[in-house]
Amino acid sequence: MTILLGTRKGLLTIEGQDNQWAITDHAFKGSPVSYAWYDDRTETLWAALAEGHWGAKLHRKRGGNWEELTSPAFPEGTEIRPEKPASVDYIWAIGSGGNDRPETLHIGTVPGGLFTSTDDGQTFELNEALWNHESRDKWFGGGFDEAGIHSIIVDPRDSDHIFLGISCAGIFESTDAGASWHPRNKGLDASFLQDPNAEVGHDPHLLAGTPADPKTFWQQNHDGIYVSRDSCKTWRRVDKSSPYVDFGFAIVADNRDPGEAWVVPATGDDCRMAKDGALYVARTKDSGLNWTKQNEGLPQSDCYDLVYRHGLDKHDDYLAFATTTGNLYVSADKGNRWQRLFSTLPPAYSIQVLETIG
Amino acid sequence: METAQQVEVLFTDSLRLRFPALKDGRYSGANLLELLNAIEREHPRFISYILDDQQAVRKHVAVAIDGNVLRRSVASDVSLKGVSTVHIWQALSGG
Repeated sequence: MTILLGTRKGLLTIEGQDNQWAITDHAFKGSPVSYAWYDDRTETLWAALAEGHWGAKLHRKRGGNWEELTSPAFPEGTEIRPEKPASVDYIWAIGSGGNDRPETLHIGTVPGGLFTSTDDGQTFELNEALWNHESRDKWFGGGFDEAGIHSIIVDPRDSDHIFLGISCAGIFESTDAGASWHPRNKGLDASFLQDPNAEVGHDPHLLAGTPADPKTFWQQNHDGIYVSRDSCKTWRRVDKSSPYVDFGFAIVADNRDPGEAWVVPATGDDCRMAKDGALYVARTKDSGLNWTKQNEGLPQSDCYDLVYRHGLDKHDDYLAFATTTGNLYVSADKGNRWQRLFSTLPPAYSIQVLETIG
Repeated sequence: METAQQVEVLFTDSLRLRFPALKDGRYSGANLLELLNAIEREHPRFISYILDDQQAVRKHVAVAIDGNVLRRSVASDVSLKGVSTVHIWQALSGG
């Protein structure tokens, strides 16, 4: 198996199985990698760097060497609000434009811009319909000074059908390749908003889809866990029946059973560390009716770990998560037993679990 | 209309790590944007390291014009008339 890890100190490639794992590559030493993604459509590795002083950068590796590309940028004169010029501070997500469009990819940024390339990353264009959306003045920062796009999912049946997760704004859907956008937050709680029934202003920490059913979506939200079985049109909260889950950032759905999902719970706003100091994963097999703790092999005291929204991934029966305190755990049996691979890594921003690269 | 002139440009080592062929030297420009474009022609994407999307000096980048540090200036507004040295470096931060 191969694990791609975007960390505060570069991009790590980790390979192995059973008890034999090793870091086989360390790219961009010292530079924060905000998101790393292997695109199997074109056998390309993508890495977004958050070069604090020097800005957000985009790199690509196809074959032997990394190559820096021209990063997405807001057009001249673009403002977040009057007198506040827009510039890409952070690349938060890189996503496929659809299997039938291998040269198309989408990038989500802070501030909340969606950039699309139709030429394999050579050039990017800001999605103006979303940037100028009528709800834009209700967007605000969640973890950053400004709102950002962290989740991008294209319907496998129709590449014009796109879903976004935006913090803080909510879930947005386009059915016309990004020409128009519609908030899809019906049923979500937002206890932090002045109007908890507001259509926009929600904080979906991560939106997850599943190839098992293109209409099923999961989200770990600032306010609980939700599932939608109707393409995000309505959401049902599914964490309140269990003492094990509520707050967290990461969520992943099974690739075969749309009712099966995993989260890594955390103590909420007041603390942001492993829930009650015990590290565990919670799994549901019945669309959120019940959640079970999966903690075999995970430490159950003195854990200060937090798993960021892109810090959990799954490939078939393999699950892996990486934390802010340098731990990387893997399970080969859907979370029943966990094994710590490393405990001294940099804080992790993104993880991808793959059979192999190339 | 301002005329371009030769200016001595000094770079931080952090930039040389990212652009190994970058060397301190003389570049030409009537204003800071022209000067950076001259460097960009030899080192593609260099300008995006210094200026943000709106062509202003990045928040954590320092550009000193004959020793005077600019803050968030739009590069085309910075005249280089009579300037002899431009020094480019980054904020120093830990972690």
